[in-house]
Amino acid sequence: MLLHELLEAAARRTPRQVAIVDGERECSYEELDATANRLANGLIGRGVEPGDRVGLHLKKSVDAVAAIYATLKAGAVYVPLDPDAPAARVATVVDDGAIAHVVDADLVDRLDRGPTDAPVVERRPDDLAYLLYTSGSTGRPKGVMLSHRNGTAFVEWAGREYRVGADDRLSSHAPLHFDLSIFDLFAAAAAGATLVLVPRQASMFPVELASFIERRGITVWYSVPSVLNALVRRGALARGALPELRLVMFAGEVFPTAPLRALMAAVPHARFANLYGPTETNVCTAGDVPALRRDDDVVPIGRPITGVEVVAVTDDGGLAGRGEVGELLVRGPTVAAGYWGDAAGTAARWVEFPPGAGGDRWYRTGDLARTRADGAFEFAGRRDDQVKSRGYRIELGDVEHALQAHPLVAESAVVAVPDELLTNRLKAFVVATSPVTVHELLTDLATRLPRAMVPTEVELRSALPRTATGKIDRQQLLKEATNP
Amino acid sequence: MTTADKLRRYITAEVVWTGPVSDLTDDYPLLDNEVFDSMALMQMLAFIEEEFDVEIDDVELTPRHWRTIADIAALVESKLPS
Repeated sequence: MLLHELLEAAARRTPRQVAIVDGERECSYEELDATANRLANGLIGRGVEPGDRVGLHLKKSVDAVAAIYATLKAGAVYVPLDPDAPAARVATVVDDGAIAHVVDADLVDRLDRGPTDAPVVERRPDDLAYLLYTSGSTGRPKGVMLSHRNGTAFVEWAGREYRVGADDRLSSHAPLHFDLSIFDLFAAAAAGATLVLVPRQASMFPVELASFIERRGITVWYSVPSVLNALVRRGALARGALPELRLVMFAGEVFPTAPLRALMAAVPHARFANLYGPTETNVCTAGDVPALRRDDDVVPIGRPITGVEVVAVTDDGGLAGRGEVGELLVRGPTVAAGYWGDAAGTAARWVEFPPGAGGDRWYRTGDLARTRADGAFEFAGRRDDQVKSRGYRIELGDVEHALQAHPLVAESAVVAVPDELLTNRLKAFVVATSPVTVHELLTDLATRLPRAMVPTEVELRSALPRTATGKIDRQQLLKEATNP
Repeated sequence: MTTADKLRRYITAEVVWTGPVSDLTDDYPLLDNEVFDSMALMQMLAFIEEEFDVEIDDVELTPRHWRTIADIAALVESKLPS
């Protein structure tokens, strides 16, 4: 099965069913498939060949979804480019992915004139379908290579597990360059369900979001926890709110227990599920949230999903026993093949286990987890400097690299300060070579980094504290940032 | 410093405002120009409640009160003791 065949099957089965709700516009499966065919023929006409990477620089919309399917129908690999990211960041991705074709809104208009017949292109499930770029510790984003099979293995599992049906109305909250969108797009198509695009403004104002979910009859919600956290804190939800919402799925970071409990109490009729998996694995473990009795109860990240193997490996290289913490290693049909154009990075993260064992490689997540007696895992932190903020995965080195690019910055260190709402907020400590204002630094950073990666606080210092070995003392800085 | 000035100072220091500070006038359309994302808005809300010692009701968190610095200042000032 190929990802775009999910759309084609739905268009044959239920052509008149609404595929996408985008503001006041409703687009049927038949219409979406026809638009995708026209765009695919247009792309092929412009020289797009099977395996080419096609960048999609589009705001989330019917057109953007059609362009995703068009790229796949043309046999190419779609690369969603963050429409809100600064041009320099987008250019880095276009360069890294050797992307020869970038589709923007103007090009969509010009392409949408070709014949409506489906193009005939031979593709196999193990061929690449999409590249998702994530933060890299050296300041260059990494392109995770995902095949049709990686996507469909997850989507088929999720469709069964969560009984997604044609009557469901799924939210589309995550941006398209974020891997949560894979469920939204393709689980909806697999079931012939309706995908409701969540407008930016509705997701900014919790009361508006609550009314949007209710008015649009959303039955399945999927997002990072921070949005749901804001919804329960400031959404004025009465008990029994959002009556049609039957399933709330969250992923991307830890949902603090107190607001999760409050949300479960306000929406007692919904099933709550925690999904876990770095972009490299799609989703690899999942579990329903158990009844929470106290605000310090731990919510597990669940058990491996069907067909996927997950092990926790301790520092001495053995399997973590019950109650022990180890690094999660993952392999199976949902796991990516590696990083685009980065054999060394791929070899470092996709490893044999045990070493020398041969067979399919395992992806080293860098995430630590505790093994529970019931087979579920509990998240227990990171091995390295990768942090999460509002669900975005951020390498602190990536942010420091961007700060260092400013001509007046002599030295910088970025720390992640735990935050109830954001999971972490970033604080930068900067030593400048000559006077510079925080506003100048932030303005410059905003030209290099996506907004979620720009520190919320910058402090200018005359020097940074050092450890005995002369390295920047990040622990000390974190302590100062946490208890000012 | 007026309420509007305090809000402006916060936005230039904490929210990523990439233009010249002088462009951020009282009636600059903050929402239309996507100056905030959802989390920046929540953080600004926390700042306002602490700085001015006021409580913003959940139902006052609507675009009507947040389109411009003047809108936000009016909301804040309606809650200050006269």
